Amino acid sequence: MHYPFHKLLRYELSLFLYDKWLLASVTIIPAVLMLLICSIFQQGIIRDLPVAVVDMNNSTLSRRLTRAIDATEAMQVQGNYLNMQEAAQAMRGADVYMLVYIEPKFAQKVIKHESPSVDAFYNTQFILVGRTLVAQLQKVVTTLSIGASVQRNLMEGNVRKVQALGNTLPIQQQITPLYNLGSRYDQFLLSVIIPCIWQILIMVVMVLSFSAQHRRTGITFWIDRTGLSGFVAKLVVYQVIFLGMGVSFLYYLYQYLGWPMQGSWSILVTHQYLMVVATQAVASLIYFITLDPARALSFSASYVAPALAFVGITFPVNSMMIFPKIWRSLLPVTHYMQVQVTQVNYGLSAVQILPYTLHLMLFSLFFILVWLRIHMLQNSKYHDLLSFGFGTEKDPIAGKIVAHGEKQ
Amino acid sequence: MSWWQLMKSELRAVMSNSAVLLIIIGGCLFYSFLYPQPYLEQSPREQKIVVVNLDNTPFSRHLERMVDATPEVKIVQHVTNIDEAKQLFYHGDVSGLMIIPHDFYRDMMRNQSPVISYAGDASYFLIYSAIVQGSASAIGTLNASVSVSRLLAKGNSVLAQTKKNHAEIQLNARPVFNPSVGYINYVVPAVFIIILHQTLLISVGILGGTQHEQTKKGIQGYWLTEPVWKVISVRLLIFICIYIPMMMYYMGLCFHFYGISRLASVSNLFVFSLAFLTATASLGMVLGALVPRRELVTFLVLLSSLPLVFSAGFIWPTEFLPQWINTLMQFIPSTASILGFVKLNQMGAQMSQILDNWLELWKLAGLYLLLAYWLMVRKQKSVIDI
Repeated sequence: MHYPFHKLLRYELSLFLYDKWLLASVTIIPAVLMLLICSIFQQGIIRDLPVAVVDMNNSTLSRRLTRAIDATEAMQVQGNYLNMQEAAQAMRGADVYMLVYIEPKFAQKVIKHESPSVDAFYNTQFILVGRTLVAQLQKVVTTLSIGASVQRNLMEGNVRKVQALGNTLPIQQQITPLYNLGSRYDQFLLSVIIPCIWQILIMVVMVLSFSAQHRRTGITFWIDRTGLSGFVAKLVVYQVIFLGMGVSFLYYLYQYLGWPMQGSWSILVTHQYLMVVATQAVASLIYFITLDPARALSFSASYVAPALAFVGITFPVNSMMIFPKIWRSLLPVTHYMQVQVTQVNYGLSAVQILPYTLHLMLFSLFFILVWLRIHMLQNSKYHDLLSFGFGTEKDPIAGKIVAHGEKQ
Repeated sequence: MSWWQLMKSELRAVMSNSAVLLIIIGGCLFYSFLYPQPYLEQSPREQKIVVVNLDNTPFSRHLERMVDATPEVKIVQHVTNIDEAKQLFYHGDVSGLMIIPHDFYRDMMRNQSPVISYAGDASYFLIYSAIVQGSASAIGTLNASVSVSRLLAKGNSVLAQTKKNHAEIQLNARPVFNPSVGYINYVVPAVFIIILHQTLLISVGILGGTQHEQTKKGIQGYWLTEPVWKVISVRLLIFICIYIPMMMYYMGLCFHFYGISRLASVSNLFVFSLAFLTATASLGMVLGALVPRRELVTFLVLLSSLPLVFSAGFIWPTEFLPQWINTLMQFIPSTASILGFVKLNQMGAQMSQILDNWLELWKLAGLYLLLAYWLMVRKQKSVIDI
């Protein structure tokens, strides 16, 4: 039987009324997820984390150091720890993220030219945080050190102030974090977490949609009746929905929040479309192989849930071994993220990103497997079982299409 | 039905449910292998940078060699101007660049403190911090040796010898709990708890959901005929018995294999695991009783995974989360479990220090058990009424 395409689209939309969970999964649920994940990174930078200082010296200089630590953006000196045991206990209980120990003869050693050291123990169970804290403490100690040194140099001879500084640090450094000038965590993490959640959503919603169709008419009955155009209509409806979501999050990040964006919107949106189609291909394949929503979702879960680790933003690809490199190339979001990063940061041309484009397109080949599998099902003994006993006498799809469309 | 018969029926229900088995056995084993894969190299090394040496003296080339010798950075290209360096960067050939200014050596000899500029791609935090760490340590070492030779040149050899370093005050930063600052030790312990948590939720939930679907088909199983409190107790017992070996595999064999520290005693781990498993399985029963179809459990749990990971506190401190998210997360067993397990096993905390987390889990267990009881009793009644 042949139905006009726009009627198939309408039929597809009527599925949202048939299954309220499906409707929620493209409306309320993505909105809640977006709200959650954006609120988590609301603050964006590391600020005022508790740090313990054990000051065994208690001199003007050591107290100046403590105050300088407290004055940094990332750290806040907390509590009054009189000895290392107490402070170490606080570290183990994760009450403080770093422990700074100032030795008993600290100020005296500075005067005697003996280069005392400040010991800092930082919690590397929290790597991202730990690194930031050490970097800030390094700045504090260097400043204090230069201060002490300049003071002495000025006292010792009549050198000019610039030269005094030169004496302290022969070579100076200027460090620039490119493409994320404020080293903001939200910019670093949100720009990759959101596409990963998007990929999970595309996978599970496609599976839910096929399974809703199955409950409604039986999946093979639906294919028998509407053929390829029914299948395409389903894909198109969800492509519009997911592309809408994709464009919205890009707009939110790079227009509303105003993060820098050097690339072309048309390239980005085109690749978002390719990413949606690629994920749909994998989702269809998984559904039609398992033919059971619970098992299909389990497989989808093991496929897309760990994607973030493999994308290569949080941990660089060049430090991965061969297996993770293969696995990541099987995830659509990997190739999409390459496009997003290179567009947003460097604004590469369409030709330069062609490899990623082709990779994304390759996923469409899965549709051939899906079609083969469908043919297999149509000819199998399960055919009647899968069409739920809807025989030739009853045609629920035609009824729906007439009900939802104009009178024929 | 006796306790023993009930146990057998429940066990049969678990073993004959392919969706549950797929999650428990397939999911757990597969994840324990898959998840740590990207991080096996532990930390990023030999990040590629390009050098623009506008000075080109033996001294500046010495600096280049020192930077190249650090484990974090590798100089792969030398170019003569900044534009060429930019092109290499855009093509992805390098992730950072270093610029040595004109007259670098001369300025240094004249005590004018020349500035070395370097930059890394901060859209990848780990690459950026590796480049900074490598370059900064090379420049720091060079600074120290220049200072010492200056003191020697002034004839101050005694001072030069006593000074270990050019700096008046040194920072001696030591990583603790994860001394190698490896990525596996950082991510895997917490993520493994999330994996156990999510798979337990899904498997208990799917079992409940399956039985709910069977009820709708008119099948009168033991879950309808037996008292609810008995069904709940048996289900809890069975899943704890399944998951205890799973936890031993994760925290024993896997942690050993990946070289993750195991500071907690087995008895402490066991005591904490009981609270974790009871709370999580109870929440799974609530989910199973709430959703109309079993696959929706997987759907909800799967979508919640990333928000759970990022609000658990090991990547992004809980201090920075809005209050409403922190409050919300208190109701998910994974929050207290991750904190408790990581403190206990990775940071060597005493049981007394994680008592709060432990009690919190028991409170959640109580809450969800009551909720599951109420929901399941309601279901039984609705069936009997028909």
